[in-house]
Amino acid sequence: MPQAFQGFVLRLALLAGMVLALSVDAQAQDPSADSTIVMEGELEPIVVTATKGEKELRNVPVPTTLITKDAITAQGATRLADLLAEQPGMHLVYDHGKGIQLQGLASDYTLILIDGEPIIGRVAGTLDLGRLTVAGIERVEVVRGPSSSLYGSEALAGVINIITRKPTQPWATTISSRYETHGTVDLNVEAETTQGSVGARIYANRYSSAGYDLAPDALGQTVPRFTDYTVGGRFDLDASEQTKLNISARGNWQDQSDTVGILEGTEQVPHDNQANQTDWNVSPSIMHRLNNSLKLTGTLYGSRFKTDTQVREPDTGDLQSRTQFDQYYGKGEVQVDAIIGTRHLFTGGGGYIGERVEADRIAGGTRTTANVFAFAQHEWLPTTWADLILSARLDAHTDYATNLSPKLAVLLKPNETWRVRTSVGSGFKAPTFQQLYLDFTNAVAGYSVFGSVDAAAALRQLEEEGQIQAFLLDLDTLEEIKPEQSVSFNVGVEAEPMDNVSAQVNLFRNHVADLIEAAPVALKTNGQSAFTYFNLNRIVTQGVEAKVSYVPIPAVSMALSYQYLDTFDRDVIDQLEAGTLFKRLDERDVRLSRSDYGGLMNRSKHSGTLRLQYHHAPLGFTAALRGLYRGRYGFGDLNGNLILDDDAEYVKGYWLWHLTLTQQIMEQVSVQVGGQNLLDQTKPSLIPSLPGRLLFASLRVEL
Amino acid sequence: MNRSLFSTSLALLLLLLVAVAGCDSTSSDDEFEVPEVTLAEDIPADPVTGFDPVTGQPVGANEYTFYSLREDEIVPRSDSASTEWDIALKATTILTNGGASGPGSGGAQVLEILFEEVTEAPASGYATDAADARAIPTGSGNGWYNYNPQNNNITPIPGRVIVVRCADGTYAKLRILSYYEGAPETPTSDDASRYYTFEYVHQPDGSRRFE
Repeated sequence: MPQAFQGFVLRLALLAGMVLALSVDAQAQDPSADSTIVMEGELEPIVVTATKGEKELRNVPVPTTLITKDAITAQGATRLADLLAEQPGMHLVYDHGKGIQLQGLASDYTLILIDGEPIIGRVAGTLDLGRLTVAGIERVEVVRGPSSSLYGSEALAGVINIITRKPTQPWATTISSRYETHGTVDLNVEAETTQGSVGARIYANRYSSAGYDLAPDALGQTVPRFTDYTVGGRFDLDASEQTKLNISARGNWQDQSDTVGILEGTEQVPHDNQANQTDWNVSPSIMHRLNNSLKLTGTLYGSRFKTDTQVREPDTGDLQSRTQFDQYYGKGEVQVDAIIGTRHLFTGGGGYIGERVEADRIAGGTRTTANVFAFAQHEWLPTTWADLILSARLDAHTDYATNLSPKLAVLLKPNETWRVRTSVGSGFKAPTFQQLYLDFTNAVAGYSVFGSVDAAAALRQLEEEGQIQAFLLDLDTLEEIKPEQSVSFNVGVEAEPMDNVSAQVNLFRNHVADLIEAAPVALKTNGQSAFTYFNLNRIVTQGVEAKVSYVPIPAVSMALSYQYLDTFDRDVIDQLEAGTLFKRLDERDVRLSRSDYGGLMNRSKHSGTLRLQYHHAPLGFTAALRGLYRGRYGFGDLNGNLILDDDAEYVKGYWLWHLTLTQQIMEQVSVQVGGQNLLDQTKPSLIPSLPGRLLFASLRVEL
Repeated sequence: MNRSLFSTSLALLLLLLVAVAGCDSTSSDDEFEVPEVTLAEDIPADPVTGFDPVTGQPVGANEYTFYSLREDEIVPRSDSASTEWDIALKATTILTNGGASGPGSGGAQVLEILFEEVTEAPASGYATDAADARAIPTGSGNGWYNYNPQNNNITPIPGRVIVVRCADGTYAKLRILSYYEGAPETPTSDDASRYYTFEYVHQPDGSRRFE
């Protein structure tokens, strides 16, 4: 590892030299050669995620979706999960929280950022988007395709960046409250002020619910009762025309209570289950413009995610079990943006990430890790109708192999009607804490699982204790684990043939290799296996995303989207081609062929969204109707071969219909009523996260 | 002594006759007696008797059930050191009567193939039980079953055929149908585990042919 670091430091020095050389070059340029080619106008929406800098949405060379504040308001969503669930090509998936499936990749392959900084706290791979309020959000940007060349780990399917609202008003306050089925209440206060060069904005949100129970016979509720608080804010200081300072912070606390069954003998005995979750993040940053063509940004970011789950005997209150997890994340990053001449834009930077995790099942109880990184991006505008961006990032980590992620993106705009976006890039996903440091022996079944960092030592320890019957491989051949890696292609066309019509089609293909899975490494004397983690499987997701928007008259807007998705595990394909995969049908075994294979679980081949919005300006009335279709998808194996191949292994396709009606009463007051899942679609055993019909009403006052 | 010599001679003579008949007959398959498929149902394999009060781990009597594929019956535990039995079952572990497990010449191999397609036992490739590795590999996905951690079910892997060399060196092909009592189609937590239902074909004539 130290070797990797030495090599890395050398590369960092080289990069620094390069940045310096470029900045000198940039300073030597005539300052009057301003950035007009890069920034064409102020009216077009500006996004920041795709290139780590401001750029017009229409001129971004990678597929980018912008969810504006108006769209958020018209939908009436209160949590980020609900907001994103209605976006084309994005599916809400539930596994220890609500995550988003993007381009057919599971939720742990999409990076979630808040103002460009990563939100931490994944549980079983899912970063629960239900714990993020939409309060304080100005817009959400979704970049499809790998972005590890700028952001590092987790950005394989794409990046979701939550941009918080900047204070713009001299004084403004907004109060809103929303009531929904299942006793769900959302209360929100936001206030902002700007005084000269100083601006401040704060918000506070309380979100609570009694939960719901789709299976009254089973112990505990389907979704437990909870209370959730979020407070956040930002402070902006324009110290001078050239220097801007900002500090942003956010805190979230959630309490959940439920009843769980603890197996005593053969009987499930009810116990109280209390889960507390805390996370906060704070980020000071400084941006300094040296001249018209050179900008420096420095950012510090700190975050913590902590969970504490206690199971107690209901009568005596005795603690039965307790699980704790505590993660700290700290990052320092510098970025240089340099405009070189009229046709080149360079962005470069680097930084350090330190992490500390404390958990019950982690070897040693506490672990600390370090990750240094450097990235560079060069944008070249060879003509007025072409834009090329080349970027790469290097990540060197204490506990897994060093990773380089390059990306090339090209935008062609032959005229104002057409945009063609092509990109090829690489993404990576770092091994999780569990995959690196787990030290776990199942008390009931007797098997053991060790993280890759400590596996060899832990297994030798077991051998000394006489617990190993046989090794399945030579411990000396265990290699350092690699991050999961992807290579992805995106080719998209956007057309605006008329003022009121726009269409987008994007073809994507993601190859993900080195998927990390546990595999047995030794046989224990108790007859059970000891496992560690290996880079094993290779999967492919590919498909087409298409979207058409049409505004027949100014008051009406329509949007239709469709996604075709094809996914598979390459090793399963190999087995199918070798004729070694079978299924059991009426007690007989049948050999499977390629056409029997339904691909990865939880992926819909066909899905789509429909959106109709009517806005009657004179009356201040808005109606937004949305339909979401999810085609059939596999939920799990039933016939023993662990792959999706039988009709009984699918969840049937279904529609969800949502309606939101908004009425502006006075200039300051608006009322909203609506319903989610109006047709009351439920599938209690297969989709417990689908709560059935929800009706809501809300009041919003702006002072 | 004489009697045994006589019966051996008779057997040899019969064998010779059969061989001669086989030689001059053009349709030997017609003469070949196809062994029948036998179904063994709910053979206990150390059923759960209770739970460990400390670990909560299910426990049984920690005893193997010995089974003869030649006689289609359970062999008493007192004969565990004999060549009476061919396979022994305890939870998901299956022993064969040979190597470290017994005095017989038993062994086994697991094939990835359809049961019907095994018309002949392979000539080679048999493993015998060692103290640290069974001829029929243990562990989910390694041998005959998959373990599903979501519902804790043990499911036989479709398309796995265990070819068993019995204690006396004869061959059998075997396919496991269920690990649960009554062989329910989709087992639930209410179904008692550690009960094998399996089908097999044993070839008593010492050849490797099943068809």
